[in-house]
This record gives sequence, structure tokens and C-alpha cells, in this order.
Amino acid sequence: MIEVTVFYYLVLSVIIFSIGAYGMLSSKNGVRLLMSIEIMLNAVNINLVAFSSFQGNLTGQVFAAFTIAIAAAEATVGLAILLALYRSFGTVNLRKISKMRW
Amino acid sequence: MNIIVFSIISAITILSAIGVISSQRIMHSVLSLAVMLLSVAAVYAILNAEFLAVIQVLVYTGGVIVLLLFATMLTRSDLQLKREQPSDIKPAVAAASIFAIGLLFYIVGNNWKSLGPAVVGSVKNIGMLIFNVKKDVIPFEIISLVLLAAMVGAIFLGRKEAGQ
Amino acid sequence: MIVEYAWIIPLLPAIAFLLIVLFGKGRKEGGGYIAVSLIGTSMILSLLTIAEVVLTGKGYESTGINWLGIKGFQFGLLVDQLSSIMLFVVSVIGFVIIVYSLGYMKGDHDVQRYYAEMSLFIASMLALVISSNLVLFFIAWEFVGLSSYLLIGFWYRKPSAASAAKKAFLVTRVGDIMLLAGIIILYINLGTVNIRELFVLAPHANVGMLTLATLLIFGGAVGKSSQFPLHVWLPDAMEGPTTVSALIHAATMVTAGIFLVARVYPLFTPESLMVVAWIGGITALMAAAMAVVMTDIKRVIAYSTISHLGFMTVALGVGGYFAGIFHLFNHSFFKALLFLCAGAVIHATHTQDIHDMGGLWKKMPITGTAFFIGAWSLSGFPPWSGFWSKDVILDNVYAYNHVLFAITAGAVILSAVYIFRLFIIVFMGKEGKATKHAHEVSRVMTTPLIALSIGALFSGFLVFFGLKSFLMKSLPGNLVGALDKASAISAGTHEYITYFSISLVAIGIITVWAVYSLKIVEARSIRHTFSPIHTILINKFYIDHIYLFISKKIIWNISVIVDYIDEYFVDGTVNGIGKLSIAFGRKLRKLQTGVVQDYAAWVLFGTGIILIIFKAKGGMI
Repeated sequence: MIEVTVFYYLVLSVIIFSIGAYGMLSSKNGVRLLMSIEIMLNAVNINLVAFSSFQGNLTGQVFAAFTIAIAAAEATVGLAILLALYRSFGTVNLRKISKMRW
Repeated sequence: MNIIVFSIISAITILSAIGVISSQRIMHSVLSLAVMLLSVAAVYAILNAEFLAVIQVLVYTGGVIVLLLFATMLTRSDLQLKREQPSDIKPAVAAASIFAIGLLFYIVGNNWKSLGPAVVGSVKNIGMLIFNVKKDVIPFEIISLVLLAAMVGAIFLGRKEAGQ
Repeated sequence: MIVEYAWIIPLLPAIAFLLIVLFGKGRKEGGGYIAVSLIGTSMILSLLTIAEVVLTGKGYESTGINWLGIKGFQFGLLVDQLSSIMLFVVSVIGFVIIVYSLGYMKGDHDVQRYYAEMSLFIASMLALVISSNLVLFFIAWEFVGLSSYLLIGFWYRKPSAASAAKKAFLVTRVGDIMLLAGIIILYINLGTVNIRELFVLAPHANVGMLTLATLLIFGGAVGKSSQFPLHVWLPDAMEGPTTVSALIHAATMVTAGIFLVARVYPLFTPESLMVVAWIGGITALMAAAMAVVMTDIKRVIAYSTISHLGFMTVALGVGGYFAGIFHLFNHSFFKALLFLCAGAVIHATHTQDIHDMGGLWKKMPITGTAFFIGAWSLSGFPPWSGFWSKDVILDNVYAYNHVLFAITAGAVILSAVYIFRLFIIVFMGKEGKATKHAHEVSRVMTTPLIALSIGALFSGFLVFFGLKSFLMKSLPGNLVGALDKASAISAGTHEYITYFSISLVAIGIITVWAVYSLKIVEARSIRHTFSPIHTILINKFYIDHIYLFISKKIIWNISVIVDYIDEYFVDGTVNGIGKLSIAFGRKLRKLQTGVVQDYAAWVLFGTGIILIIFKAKGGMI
């Protein structure tokens, strides 16, 4: 039986993070962009918790708890911004919200 | 920990994450995200971080997902959702893959063998950390302020202005 | 005691400058009374200072303020015997001229500016005189240059005045650059710019370096004191108000150059002194010759000034330290007097052409008498002041070199010729067309004339009251001995030279009398006989033409080439870089799509690249 070391968790974290990054960069829909960011935050949390667990230091878990709190705050503010954008542009298609260009 | 359990949970996590970014309908995305968050909670559980697993379920699947569902409905994103064009995803693929390669360089290059499973985390121990004046109580309280500010900000941004 | 407060002396006129600039408008005489009172106070203070230096017999040097923490840059005061003589000249003559201005400038529409600039001029000259440090000296020197520029161009609406101011500024600038270079050479090699420290270090310094430095410093004096070949600005400087000319010529600007040479006299090597002497001799003769043919009353006196500055320079050059300063002292009085008389004449006749004047003595007796005193003193006929200093100069020159003595003697004859020619044409003979309505000028103008007349008559007698031994105290002891030894050689011939110089002056005066008053020979026929010489003289030895040729033909063509290089090569490069940037920017701005995710993609991409590079280079982690 192969032992599950921290390495596996890190690879898992990288994969999930990259998926989230790809989603963040590619999605047209604002809501999906927010979801992608949540995915990335979760990847980071996996990292933190994995190291915490394997090193026997609880600080990483405390950090992860803080991250979750911040992520929640980010989600609320992000959604409120999205609503505001929707009200002024009539869409949440991020490709169309490109007033600040050359 | 059993490699099989880990593999199954990882597979669910990765697949649901892919589901989030690739579903046609935004509602499916949100539901995939719920699955993904729950499986991350499972990952925490197999890492002996049961407190975080609980928080994950409560905050994310209980709070954030509900929020996202509301947002989806309020912005009627479903009606406008179309497949991303190849020109849109090219930079995303390039950037994400370069970044992933960069990270993997660090992970693969290092020797992680020395780190084996260690102390079990417990709710009590985390509480001792968070509420200890000498440890993390100040960040913890500041987080509560951040949440308050986020709440106020969200209300401010979300409410309709008088003229509209 | 009082001498420690000498820094107030230049400060008061500077305050007058500020007050007049700020509050002079609308005040009576444009604030002229502010200038008179503050410059008068400054004069009293400087007289007290001089009295203290005379009584104690010691110079005073303040420790000075450290400037920028640079070694050797202590800005302080040096009031020694030489400074006190100059202080006397500058403050007394400056004050007299300022008082005279109250009458002369009455009714000019811009008197406020006039008094402000005059105050600045006097302030900077006073600061120059008492500075203990060549850098501070240079700063004051440049202030003198600036205020002379402003004053020569006082009537700047007249194109000739504007261009004369520019000419004065540019020509003296040539000298200023040389002076600065000289100061820098001294500082690099001796590590200080403090004048007295330089005196201590100079005897041990490299002679070649000292020669170069002193020649450059003398270059500054050539520019400021209008010696050949940079004398061209001075006659044109007559475009300013006559009082300004008087101030520039007698008390402030041109004497600054002589003072500079005297100030750093111990640094001069025999080689550089030889250059000084010959330049002075040539200037004296050339300028005197040109003065003979000029027909503008102020220009005659202007060339006379150049000639007399030449006397001072030649005196310093041949080792007659005392002779040069003594002549400067005497010259200040009679030249200021002559200029103020000329100013009075111009004020009365409204012309500067001497052929329109004539017979003015009867109309303006005080001015005429004063002018006569000035002319007598200037010509060097005994017993008035000009005689004493000229005598000492000729004495020293004779001991140095006989050719130079001949040149100087020629200049002496010509001095007598031009000044009495001027006097006879303007004040004697039959009335000219501008004379009819002339009348004596007001009291405020004649009083200064009388005061200066007294100075012009009697300043020479100071030589009997120990002026020489007083002045010599400002030099290091060993140098005094050397100078005394040199002058001892000429002691045997002294009396003959005195008789010789008196007879020279007498010949000059008699010739002029014969030609212009008795008309034994017509002036016109003499001019006709020597017409080539006359042409050369009236064209000022073509020096202006040479300068114009150099600037128009040579420098202009070089400038055209440089301009071409600038336009097509330098500008081409700069513009090319600019065009390249614009083209690049046109492409690059496409990056700003307005879509936030694209920016995020770049951030992520870049972070990934950096991670890979770090790992490849051995890694941060």
C-alpha cells in the first residue's frame, strides 16, 4: 500500500488551483468567475490544512479558518458588485464590460 | 490513510471542479461547486481537520452556495450564458498551464518524504489557539470586523439607489 | 570693534534695493531718498571702519561662515588697508553720485527701477571689496556684472542701449569665465580660496600653475576693467544714464578689475606681471589715441577711462603696487567729477556732440570750473592729484622697461591733449547751437560737483600722509621688501622723470591750446594730413570689426554646421526614438482590452514564468 504523503495533497491542490485559475480567466459569466475564485481559495486551503496536519502544527488550520471567513466576505462583496454591474450594464457578460480600454 | 479513499475523494473533487467551469448551465455549475466544496470538506476530514470540515460545510455549502444561487437568479445569467470562444480561452489555457507548471516544479523538486502524518487536530486545540490572547485572538477579532465591513459594503452596493 | 560689523556696509544698500523694489512705487523720487539715506548710513559706517583700520593699523578678517561644508569655502570679511581704500572710494563716490542723481534723474518715468539698480550696484561692489574669499568675491563680481547690465540698458527701449547692455554683459562674461577658471585652478592646486591663506601657500606653489591661474584671473580683470582687447564694451556703455557711467567708470565696475589684481597681487609671478604690464601699456596708449578723435563728450571720457585703467594696470604690472592703487584712488575722484560735469552739460544742452557745444563757461560757471579742475587733475599737471600718481607710475615703469616707458609717456601726452581739447571745445570759444538755452544746473547737482572737486584737487596729497606705508601693510612682508628694492633702482632718476612728465603734459596742453584756441593750425588740416591714422582711430582700431568678423563669419559658420548636426543627427536620433516608442505603443496598447480577466491572465502568466526562472536558477525556496 502506498503511503499518502503531503506530496499527493499538494498535487491535488495544484490541479484544483489550476482549474480554478483557468475558470477565472476564461469564463464569460460573472457568477462563474466568482465560483472559480472560490475553487482557487479551496485549493489554497487544502494546502494549508495538509501542511498543518503533516507537521502537527494547528496554526495552518487556524489560517484556513480565516481564509474561509475571508472567502465568505469576498463572495458577498463580489456578488454585490456583480449585481451593481448588472444594474448598470444590463449584463454580467464580462467580455462586454470593457469600457476601460484603449 | 488509505490511498484508495484519498484517490476517490480527489477524483470527485477534481471532476466536480471541472464541472463548475465547464457546465452549460450556470445552475449546474453552482451545484457542481456544492459537490466540490463538500468533497474538499471530506479532504479536510481525512486530514484529521474535523473542525475545518464542519466550517467548510456550514459556511460554504450553507452560505456561499445559497448566495450564488441568489446571484444567479437575480442576474438571470442563465439566459445569456454561451460557450466560451476559442479566442477567449487561449490566454486562460496558457496562463493557467504555465502557472501550474511553475508550481509543479517546486512540488516535484522537493523531498516531502520526511513529512509523515502527525498530531490530530481537535476543536479544543483550535479554540485554544483562536481565543488565546497571546496567539490568534486579535486576527480573529479583526476577521469579524472584516466580515462586518463586507456585509455593510454588500448592502451598500446591492441596494437600489433612490433614483433608479 | 566697528570693523567687526563691516558686513552691515554692503547690507544697507542691499536693503535699500529691496525696499525700493517693494515699496518704491508712488513714493517721491521713486524711493530715491531711501537709497540716499541707506547708502549714506553705509558710507558713514564704512568711514568709521576705515578710521578704525587706520588707527589700529591692523586689518581684520572674520572667521566666516562655512559654505556647504566644503573645505576652504569660509565666506567671511577681509577688511585690510587695500579694502579700506576701496571702501572709501566706493562708498563716498557712490553716495555723491546717488545724491547727484536726485537732480539728474528727476522726471524720468522709471526712477524707482533706477534707484533700485543703483543700490544693488553699490551693494554688490561693497560686498566685493570686503570679501575674504575668492568665491564670495566672484559672486559679488557677477552681481556687479548683472547690475551694470541692468543699468547700461536702463533705457532699454532704445535699441542702442539694449545692445550696449548686451555687449557689456557678453564681453565681460569672457573675462568672468577666465576668472572662474583661475579660481578653480587655485582651489584645485592649493585647496583653498581664502585670499590670505592663498598668500601663505603661494610661495611654495608651482610657478607654472600660479602663472596660469594669475593670467586667468587677470583675464577677468581685463574684461571688467576693459583692458585691451576686451575694452570694446566700455565706450558703448555710455548709453546708460550719465550717472551710471560715472558710477561704472569711477567707483565701481571698472575699478573692480584693478582691485582684483591688487587683491591677489602676491600670487602673481614675474611672467604674469609682464603680461599685465604690456596689456596695460597698450591699452593706455590705444585708448588715449582714440579719445583724441571722438566727438561725443561721454565717449571721450570713456576712452579716457580705459586709458587710465591702462595706467593702473601697467603700474601694477611693473611692480608699482602702490602706484596703481594710488592712481585708482585719485582717478575715481576726477573721473567721477568729469562724468558728473558731462552729465550736467548734457542735462543743460540736451546733446552729447561736442561740436554743438562751445562757450559754456559763461552759462555754467560752476560746472565749467569743476570740469577744469577735473581736466587739470586728469592731465597730470602739478600740483593736483593726477600728477602725484602719474609721477609714481612713470617712475616705476621707467625702472621696469624703457619701451614700455615710451608707450606710457605717449599716453600721458595724449591724455593732456584729449582732455583739454574737450575742455576748450565745450567750454571755451564761441557759442554752439546747443549752448543758447543752457543754464547752470540745480544745487543738488552742483553740490556733488563741488565735493568731488575738492577730492580731485587734494586726494593726491595723501601721499604725504603715509598712504604708501599704510597700503603696503596689506601685502605680505617679503613682497614689500622686493617691491621696495625694485623701486630703489629708479630712485636716482626720479627727479628727471618728474620734470620729463611735467614737460610732456605741458607740450600736450600747449599743442591743444595752439590748435583749438589760437587756431595756429586748423584742426581740420591736421586731420587731413594724418587721414589714415584718423580713419583707424575713428574706427577704434577696427577691433569691433574683428570681433564682428569672428562672430559673423567664423563662429556663425561653425554654428551652422553644429546646427545641421543637431537638427539631423541629434534631433534625428531623439525623434527616431520617439517615433519608435509611438509605433511600439500603438501595438502595445492593444493589450489594454478592458477585460479584467486578460490582465489577470498576464499576472498569472508572469508569476508562472518567474516561478520557473527561480527554480531554474537554483530557487528561492
